[in-house]
Amino acid sequence: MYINWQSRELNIKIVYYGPVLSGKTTNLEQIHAGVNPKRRTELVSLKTHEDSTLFFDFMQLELGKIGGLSPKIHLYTVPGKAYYESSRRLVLRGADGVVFVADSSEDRLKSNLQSWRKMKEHLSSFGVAYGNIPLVLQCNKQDLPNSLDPVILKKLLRVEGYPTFGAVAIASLGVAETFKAIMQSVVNHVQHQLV
Amino acid sequence: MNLVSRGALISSDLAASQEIARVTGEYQNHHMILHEGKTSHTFISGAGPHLVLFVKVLSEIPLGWSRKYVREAVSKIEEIIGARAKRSGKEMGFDKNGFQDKLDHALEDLWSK
Repeated sequence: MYINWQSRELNIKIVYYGPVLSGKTTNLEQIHAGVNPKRRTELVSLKTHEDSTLFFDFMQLELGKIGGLSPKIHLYTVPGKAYYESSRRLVLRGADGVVFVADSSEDRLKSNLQSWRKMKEHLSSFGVAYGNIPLVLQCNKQDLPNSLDPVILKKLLRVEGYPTFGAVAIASLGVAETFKAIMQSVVNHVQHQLV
Repeated sequence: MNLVSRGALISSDLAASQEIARVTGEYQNHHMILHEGKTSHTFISGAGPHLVLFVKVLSEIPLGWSRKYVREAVSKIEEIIGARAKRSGKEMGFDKNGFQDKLDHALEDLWSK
C-alpha cells in the first residue's frame, strides 16, 4: 500500500496468481468489461504471440473519494507458464492482497499445488509470512465436468482460513464476489496503517 | 495510452531491470535505465520505494548532464516523500469513520454503469 498524501491517493495492489490457463486474465477482462468505464483505465496486456501472458496484465480502478482519500486499486495478473517464475516473483512483489486462481479440473491439481507452493516461497522471500497477507482462493472452471468442489480443492491445497469462491470466470460467475472479498480483506488488513 | 497504464509499463521496465541485476548478483540501491533514441533519450529511475521517475530529453543534450540532472531530481523527490511518509493519516486529515462501509458501497457502485 502506498499513500500519496499530496494527491490524497491510497494505492492498493492486488495480484491474481495461479497456474497457467487457470483464468487470471479472464478475471481481469471480466472486471474490465463489468465495471463503469469511468472508473477504470484500459486493460494493458503484455502477451506472447500465442496469446498467453508474457509479463502481466494491468488495470486500475478508481473508487472516488472515501474518508478524504481517493482509493486506487491496481490489479495485476502474473504470467502462468512455468518458465516465467522470475516474472511472477516480480509482479507479486509489493502486493497488498493476492487472489489465487486455481483451475478446478481434477487433472490440474498438481499444477495448482506447484503454483501455490511457489507463491508461498516468493512471499516468504519478500519477508511476508504465509498467513500474514490477505488472500482469497478462487476455484475457477467449476463448469467443467471433472471439476473439483471448492471445499475439496481447498482441502487438497491445504488452504485454511481464507475466503474461497467457486467461479466460472469466462461467464463472469464469481468474479465480482472474489474481487470484493479480496478488497474487504485488504482494507481490514491495512486500515490500521492509515491512522 | 493513458498515464496510469504507461506508468505501469515504465515501472515494470525498471522492476525487471532490478530483478535481472538481483539474479546476476549486481544489485545496487539505485537503478537507472537509459533508452537511447534518434531524436530523444528516456531515463527511468527509481525515486524511493514507491515512485518511478520517467524523464525524456532531446538527444542533443549530453547524456552525462541528463544523468546528473535525473539523479539530483531523484534525491529531491526522495527527500520530500520521505518527510511526508513520517506523518500519520490523522495529521493528514484521514477520516476513518465508516471507512469500511463507504468502501464497500463504492465497490458495489463500480458495477453500476
